[in-house]
Amino acid sequence: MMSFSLWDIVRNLLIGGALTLLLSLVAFVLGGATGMLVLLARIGKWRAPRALAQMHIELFQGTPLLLQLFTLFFGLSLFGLDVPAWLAAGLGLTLFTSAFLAEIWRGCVEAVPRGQWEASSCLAMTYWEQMRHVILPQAMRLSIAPTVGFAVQVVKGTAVTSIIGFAELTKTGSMIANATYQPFLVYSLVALGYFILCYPLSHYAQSLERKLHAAR
Amino acid sequence: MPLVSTNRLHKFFGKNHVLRGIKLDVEEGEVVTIVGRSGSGKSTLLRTLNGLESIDDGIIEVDGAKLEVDCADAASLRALRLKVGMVFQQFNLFPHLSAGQNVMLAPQVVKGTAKSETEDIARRMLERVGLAEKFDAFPDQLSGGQQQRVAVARAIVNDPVIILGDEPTGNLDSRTAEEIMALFQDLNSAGKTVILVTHEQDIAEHCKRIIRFRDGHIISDEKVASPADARQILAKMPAGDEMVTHV
Repeated sequence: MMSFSLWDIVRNLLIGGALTLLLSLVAFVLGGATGMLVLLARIGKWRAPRALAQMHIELFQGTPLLLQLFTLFFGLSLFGLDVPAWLAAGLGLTLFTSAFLAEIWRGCVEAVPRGQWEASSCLAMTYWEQMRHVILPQAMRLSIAPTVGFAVQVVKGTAVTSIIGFAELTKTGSMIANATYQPFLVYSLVALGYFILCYPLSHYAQSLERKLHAAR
Repeated sequence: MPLVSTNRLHKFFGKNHVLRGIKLDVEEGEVVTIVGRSGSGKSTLLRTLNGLESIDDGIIEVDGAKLEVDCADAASLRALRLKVGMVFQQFNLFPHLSAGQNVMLAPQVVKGTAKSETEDIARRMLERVGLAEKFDAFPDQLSGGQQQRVAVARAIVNDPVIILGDEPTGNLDSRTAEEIMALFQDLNSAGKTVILVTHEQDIAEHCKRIIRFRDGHIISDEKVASPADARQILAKMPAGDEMVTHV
């Protein structure tokens, strides 16, 4: 049997943690960009994009992330598409994140008082000018807390990708636990890793909220 | 030819018939107030004049720009709104922008004027309403009266021919209300046509013409021989905040 020092365990978990961080970033950045497009379609005036956006949101909010990952990973291979675990994980989390962020942001846009739309309409601004200069800046400030709160969920949600074999923090922990027979130590370190990733995010959200509140 | 003209104007909110065939002409240079109880339709009428409310029948003409049922396309609405400035009861300033930026936004975004030029314009507008020193202040750092003055500056920045006021003094104490009325009277002296909606009789008496509204109908339309002069009233009031400058 191979022996593992504490450093070996930590070193491997750090690699898994880095992949968790990378996957979270990919999911959040791409999911955020896609979510913004879904949001604009969802609150826009055109019926077809609105319906498509709603369908996207309902599909990805209404099904478990695990099944979405299975569908991408195993389902697409039925059509001859060989989807590697990292691609299925990134794509699955991006789509999942986009649906939730679009819906969080829609709530924030709708929370901007109607008077702001009316005042900007009276200045002869177009819909997109209103969105760009009046509504989205205010909605953005409202969205900080729920968005960062959801970012924490995305980081923790990456653990689900271990099921399709993506060697992020949980998967790495699971493999090391099997090899070392020290599950308590390993999973405690895994939990610590998630805490180290998530705690600064929550803290950053609070400071960002204070800062943006001070600057309106 | 009247500057504002509405003919057989109808508006429904569900089954509620809010405007019942309104015919109204307002000449250039008038200061008109529309008075009536809550729910009489006076605010709805005002809001149809710049397309904030659609109409169900009839026609509106503002300085040559026409609004008809189902004909309010984006371009004609934009053209209309450049001719009409509006001031609200709740001020509706943009809270994430400073007073100066609130005023700068329309010329910069809508007219594409350069930032340095719009800053000059905004400073001039704020000076006209007596708030030059508040250029960098955010709305929540201003009193209600100051916010409304910024709102007036913002409403006149596109150089509209008409200023609409939907209960513009409704949230203000009596002295500040007089200051705002002084601003409207000064704007009128400078050639702007002003149409206000109010339920306060003493505010209505500042205007040259009073239209009374009830249940979606105009029930009276009177000229006022000698409208109250807000500056004279202010002079007799106990000293309060700083006086606004003439516009």
